[in-house]
This record gives sequence, structure tokens and C-alpha cells, in this order.
Amino acid sequence: MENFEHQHNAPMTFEQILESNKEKIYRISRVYAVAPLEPQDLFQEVIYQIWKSFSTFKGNSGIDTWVYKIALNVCQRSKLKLDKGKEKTVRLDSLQFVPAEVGPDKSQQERYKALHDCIATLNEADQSLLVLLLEGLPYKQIATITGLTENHVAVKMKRIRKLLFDCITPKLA
Amino acid sequence: MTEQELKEIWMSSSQAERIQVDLSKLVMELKNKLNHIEKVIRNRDIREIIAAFIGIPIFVYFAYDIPFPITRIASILTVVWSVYVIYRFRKLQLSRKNEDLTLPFKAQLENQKTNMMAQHRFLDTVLYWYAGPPFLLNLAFILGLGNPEIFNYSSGLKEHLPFDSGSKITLIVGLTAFYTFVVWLNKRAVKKTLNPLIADIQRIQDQLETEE
Repeated sequence: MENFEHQHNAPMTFEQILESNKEKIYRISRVYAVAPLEPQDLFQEVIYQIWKSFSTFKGNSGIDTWVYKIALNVCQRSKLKLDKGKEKTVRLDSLQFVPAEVGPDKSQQERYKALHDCIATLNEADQSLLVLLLEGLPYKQIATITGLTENHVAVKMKRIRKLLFDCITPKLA
Repeated sequence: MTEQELKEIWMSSSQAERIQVDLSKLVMELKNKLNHIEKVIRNRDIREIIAAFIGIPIFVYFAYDIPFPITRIASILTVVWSVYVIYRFRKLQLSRKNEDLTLPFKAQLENQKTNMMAQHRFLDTVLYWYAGPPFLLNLAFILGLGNPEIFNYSSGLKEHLPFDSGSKITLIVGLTAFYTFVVWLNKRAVKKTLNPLIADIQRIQDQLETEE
């Protein structure tokens, strides 16, 4: 397995990055995957870009921030179909998606579907900010990932929250 | 419904599936994918350059073999134009490779738009650098072909060149149709593909900028 060195952190391996970030990458991929592209395709594309870019990681921001930047950029590119001229996605055998033995129950699935549908009603920029908020990131980190100022993020979040609650409250009532 | 509850719903979405990773195999597969993509890009670059280079020896030979001055000058200028086209293709290819997915979202959008605008300029101006110059040079080449007897021109190539008016007109009409088609194809790509993409990127940028 390859070893990667950070400037500021202890040496990290690719598997550590993957293990600690795979679930968040998959959550984001599920929002952005548009047929015929599956979330799994988007997930492996993000993993590929992380692996490819890791040697250039300068450690100026945390690894989480760096991973979120790549995930958001890859997903957004995919949504705009900027890569349609490139290679067709070939599934990697080393990544398997197995249904959980004890997955979310029907009620949880319905609640997630309602949330997913409400996210889909937002514009692209708001969707990007909202997924970062739902990931539990502070405004400062969201600002670093998006390139906006912290104040700007705060102002936008106030409006996005309202849109989200207006949409989801009747669905989950 | 609280924000915390929404976050819990969001977080629970990754519990539907377990992601199993065979790490020893993954790095190998990623390397294979990278090698495959690089190979495809390298082959495409080689194909484009070979296509552009193919005209160079042909027109060098024309310039050497054909004695008519205007045709000879047109051949030399066609060689110069071919070199310029190779330069333009290479420049665009190199700029495309500078896509950095580790940039912040806003900067990445700007980067994408810059790349798209460069492609837009590249395709939208093909009339002036890709179709127009060779068309005019081809015209000069054809119209420059005079009476072979005056120059004692007796090369084997002579049989394949259009010396009579009928052949010249037929060839010019064919070339006009060909270059018009090339321009139309590129303008269509700009209108159907690039303009919508640039508009989409601009729309997201506007959404990000607005504070409402």
C-alpha cells in the first residue's frame, strides 16, 4: 500500500483517508448522482481523484476540507456533464456496495427520501452549501471549501434553512 | 423537526449500504485506470498531431516540385499554417490538463468557465484560423496552376493536378462545401454544447454570489 506524507500531519496512508471519509463521500454522491450515473460511479470517481491528487496535498487545510473540496467539485462537474467526452465509467471490483444487514427502516427511508427531494428543489449552489451543513461542518470550514466568506455563508444558510424547512415540514408532518 | 434531526436523517443515509474496500486491489485498479486514461489521451494527442503533420511533407513536396510561383507560395504558406494549427491544438490540450479539483468550489467554477471560454474561442473562430486560411491557400494553389508547357513542367504529379478550368471549378466547389461544413460543425458544437455549459456555470456562480 502506498504511503503519503503530509507537510503538517503525521504520514497518512491512502487507506486511512478512504476509511475515514468513505461514508461522507457516498452521502454526497447519492445527492448528485443523476441517471444513468449511479452514486457508486460518482463515489469511485471521487476516490480516484483523491488518490490522483493526494501527492499534491499541501496540508494548508485539514484532510477533511480537502476531501470535501474534491467530492463537491467532482460531483458538480458530473452534474454539469462536463466529463461526458471522457472515458465511460468502469466499475472497480475492489469497491463493493453491500446492502446493510440492519439498514434504515421504512420510516427512516421515507424521511431520507423527503430530505433528498427537498434538497433537489434547491438551486445548485444552495445544494452544495446544504450538504456541507448537513455534514455538520462549521461555517468557517464551509467557507474554506466553497471559497465564500464566512459572513456570506451565514447569510445564505439562513435562507437555505428556511427553504428546506418550508419544504420538508409538510412532508414529514 | 429540528436541524439536528435533519442532520441525523442525512447521516443515516450511509447506513443503507456497507462499502467494502479491497485495499490491496484498489490501488492496483486505480493505477490501471490512470494508465488507461493517460494512454487514451496520449493516443488521441498523437492522432491529432499526425493528422496535422501529414499535410506538411505533402506541401513541402508540392513547393519543391511545382514550378508555378503562386502555387509554390501557397504550398509554403500551407506548411506554415499546419505548424500554427499544431501549436494551437497543443496549447488547448495543455490548458485542459490544468484542471485542479482540489480548489475551493468557487475557484473551481471560475477555472471551469475559463477552460470552457477558451474552448469557445477555439471553436467559434475556426473560420479565421482553421478553415479560412487553408481555403484561401487552396484557392491560390489551384488558381496558380498555369500552363505546364511554359514552365516545361513534366513531373509525375502533373497528371493529378487540376489544370483545366472544369477541374478547377469542381475542386473549388468541393472545397467550399467542405470548409463550410467544418465551420458549421464547430459553430454547432459551440451553440449546442459549450454555450449551455458556460451558461450553467455562470448560473451557479451567480447563485453563489447573491446573498439572497
